Amino acid sequence: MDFKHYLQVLKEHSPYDFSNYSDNSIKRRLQKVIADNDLSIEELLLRTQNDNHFVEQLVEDITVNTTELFRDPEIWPSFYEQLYPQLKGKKTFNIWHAGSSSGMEVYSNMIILNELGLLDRARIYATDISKSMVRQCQMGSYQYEFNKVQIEQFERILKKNPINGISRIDFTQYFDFDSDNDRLNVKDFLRDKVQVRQHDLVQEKSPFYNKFDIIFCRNVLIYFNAALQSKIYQMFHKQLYPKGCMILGNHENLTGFFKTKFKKSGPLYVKTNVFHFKYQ
Amino acid sequence: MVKVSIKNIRSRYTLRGFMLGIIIYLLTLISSTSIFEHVNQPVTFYNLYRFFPGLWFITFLPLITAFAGYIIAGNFAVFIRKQRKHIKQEANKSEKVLEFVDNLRQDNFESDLNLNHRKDRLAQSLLRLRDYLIKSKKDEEQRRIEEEQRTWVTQGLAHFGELLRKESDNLEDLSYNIIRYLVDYMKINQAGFYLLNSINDTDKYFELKACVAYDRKKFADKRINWEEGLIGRCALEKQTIHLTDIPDDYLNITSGLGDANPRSILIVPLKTNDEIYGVLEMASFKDFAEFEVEFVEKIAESIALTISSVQNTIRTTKLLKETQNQAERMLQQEEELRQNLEEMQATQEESDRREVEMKGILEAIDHAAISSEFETDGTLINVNQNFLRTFRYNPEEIDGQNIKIFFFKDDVAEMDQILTDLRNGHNFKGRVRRRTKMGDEIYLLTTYTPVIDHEGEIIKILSLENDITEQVKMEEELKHSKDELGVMLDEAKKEIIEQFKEVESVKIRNEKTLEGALDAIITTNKNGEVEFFNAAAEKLWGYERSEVLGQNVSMLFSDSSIANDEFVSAFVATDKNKIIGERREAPIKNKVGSEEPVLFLLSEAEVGEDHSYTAFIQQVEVELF
Repeated sequence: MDFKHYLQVLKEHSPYDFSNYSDNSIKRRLQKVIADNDLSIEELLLRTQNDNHFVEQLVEDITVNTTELFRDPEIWPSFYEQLYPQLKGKKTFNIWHAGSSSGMEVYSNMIILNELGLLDRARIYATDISKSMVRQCQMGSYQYEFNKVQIEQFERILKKNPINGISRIDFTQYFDFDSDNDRLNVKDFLRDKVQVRQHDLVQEKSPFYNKFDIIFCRNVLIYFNAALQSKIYQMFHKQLYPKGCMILGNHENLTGFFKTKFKKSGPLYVKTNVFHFKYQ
Repeated sequence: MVKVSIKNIRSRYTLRGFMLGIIIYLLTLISSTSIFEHVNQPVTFYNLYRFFPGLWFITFLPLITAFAGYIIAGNFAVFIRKQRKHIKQEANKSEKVLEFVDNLRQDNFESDLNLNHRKDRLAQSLLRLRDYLIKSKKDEEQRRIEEEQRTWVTQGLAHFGELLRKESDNLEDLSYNIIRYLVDYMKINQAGFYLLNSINDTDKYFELKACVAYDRKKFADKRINWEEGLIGRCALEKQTIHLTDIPDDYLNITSGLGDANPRSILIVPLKTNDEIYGVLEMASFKDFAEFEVEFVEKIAESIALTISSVQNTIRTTKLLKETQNQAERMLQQEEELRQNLEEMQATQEESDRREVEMKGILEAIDHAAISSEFETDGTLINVNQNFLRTFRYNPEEIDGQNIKIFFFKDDVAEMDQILTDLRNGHNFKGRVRRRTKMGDEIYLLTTYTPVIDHEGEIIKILSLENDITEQVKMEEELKHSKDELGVMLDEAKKEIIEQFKEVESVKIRNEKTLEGALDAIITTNKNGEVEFFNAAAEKLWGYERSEVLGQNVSMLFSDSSIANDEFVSAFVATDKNKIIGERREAPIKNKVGSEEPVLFLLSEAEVGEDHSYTAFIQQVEVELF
């Protein structure tokens, strides 16, 4: 039995659909789960069909949750070089972090927004497929040692390349540092600001009624195949206000028919008004 | 009385001696009379004395016996007196002995026996008995006290052992319980429990883990360095320190009423196997007894043992926990690493996919277009096969050349402008004229796109071109024939305009004629909209022309006549066949809303697709007259 067949079974027996994930990637992840749990393919199938708990765990295991505070620090100044003039004029604006993982990017972004004096006007939403990641995002408690390095790196970048004149950030305003327990806890005013929900991007329906000014979806689509990527761009396009921005990972590019619906402007993908006839 | 009795005895015995002498005299006298039987002589005293001269002596015998009695009685009296005195003495002595024994019986060892000890053996032995009793009593007391102390110690140790056994992993609770129990059990006033904290050899200090009845200041001062003060000395020497001479400000025992210095202080090291685990400090208003000190020392040893085992347990638990944590963290890190790797791999694969796509696109471009790359000053970097074919050059001929070699001289200035624009990041798109190796003129549809790196610098310029020479030539030909056509078209246009003007004037004339007619005339188009409405019609309906033109004709009739009247319904409807060329009477509805019968004559005009209907209307009354 190959893994595609397995994904089909999984799709039938659970709300999760991994069948359009990038072949190689999902294969590696499944192999890892099989190896970790010391299962045979038959056992895996059987447990998938009968054990909901196992399925949930499996989803936790095969999804990749890599994220960092101020990931790719050099990119943030260029984001806001473009975003700031645009956001400055708005009374309120909505931001969606799709595939937020443990939420570090959500909080990184909120910190910059707050430094720019824009946080009050922002409504921030975050979604992830993994329940435990949603919980982590709500908790906002991370490893100290590892993230300290990230923060320092970002400070260096900021010094060289200030965001709208901001070259220093006092991080104690945003985090409680607990080096004894190797913890870094996000302060409540940030945690209360963000709405976190469990949501599978593969499900076609958008989880929100409102539209967005910015959608962050960094290093998520690399796990999907081209068809699914295209589908998700389409959904993002629908969920964006005119001139709204989509932000992808550093190594991600738009492909397929829908790439004409966005105009690449520096690191941002801006929704354009290119009109597409729909043949029915 | 005794004296009286002695006199009595004397007189009595004198009398008795005298009487005895008398009796003997009389008896002798009587017995001496018998001599006269033998001697015939008269019985007279004379005779008697004569015959018996011894009688003389006997006559004086009472006096002698009385005297003898007196002497004897005298001696006897002295003897009796002596005896009596002796007896009295004896009685006195036994009384004292009795009293002494009574005292002894009542544990009153203080009393003395006032006898002449040395001579009296009884007294001596009694005194020895007393001394023995005192000694044994003392011994017994001593034993009792010792016994009590032993019980106290054993009981204390037993309770303590229980206390120490109960606690297992919390040093704070343990030390507080120890101290509290010690204070209660020993009935002392203050106690502190210092635990040796040896993080490493250089930083050793005592920490006040628990205390009872210390005043707050002392309590706050929690840390005592190794070798510092009495606590330090005690630990260093591993010896108990018992102080009875306390400096005034060493410690205060504070109660609600005031504070006072303790009388003695006991500092005991908590040691086992010659290792120090801490120090106990106790202060009391009373002195510590030997056995108490020993007790505390014994307890100190078991406390030290317990602490060592508790510390061991804590250390082991901590180590275990740490190991577990570490293992967990390792696992977590491993998973994170794996996920990072997965992300990198996924990114890589995504890039690979892109690369394949790009390659396809590049190949397509290469195949379809004349492409070349050159630097911002125009130096060629790269050209494709199409380029060479179009310009008829060999690759080696254009290596390192400037793009300007493909230009006619007139166009070079234009290219400089384009290059400047490109350096500023502007694309160029347009038709250009170029020169082949043979000097032929070719036309190209060209796009120049600057290739920009991440820093925003232009690396090179990408040129994509299509050969449109033929197209251009065709266009020129076309343009030429177009010009001819244009002239002809203009003439035709003028003619048409002339004709149109004529038609218009005829139309106006006709309309004016109709306008002036007495009959009301309306014209509708095929959609039923009113196109003409003359003055007579205005008068008949009472509408202004402007109100009616362009409106549907149905507004001129009532709903009932539209529904019921054959002529009207056909006239109003767009799809019904109209009644043409027949004079018909039908009701109209004027502006006021009242109906009036009139005569209709409908005619039809057909121009191409367009139908129009003209109705001539006469008022019925007029006809009747």
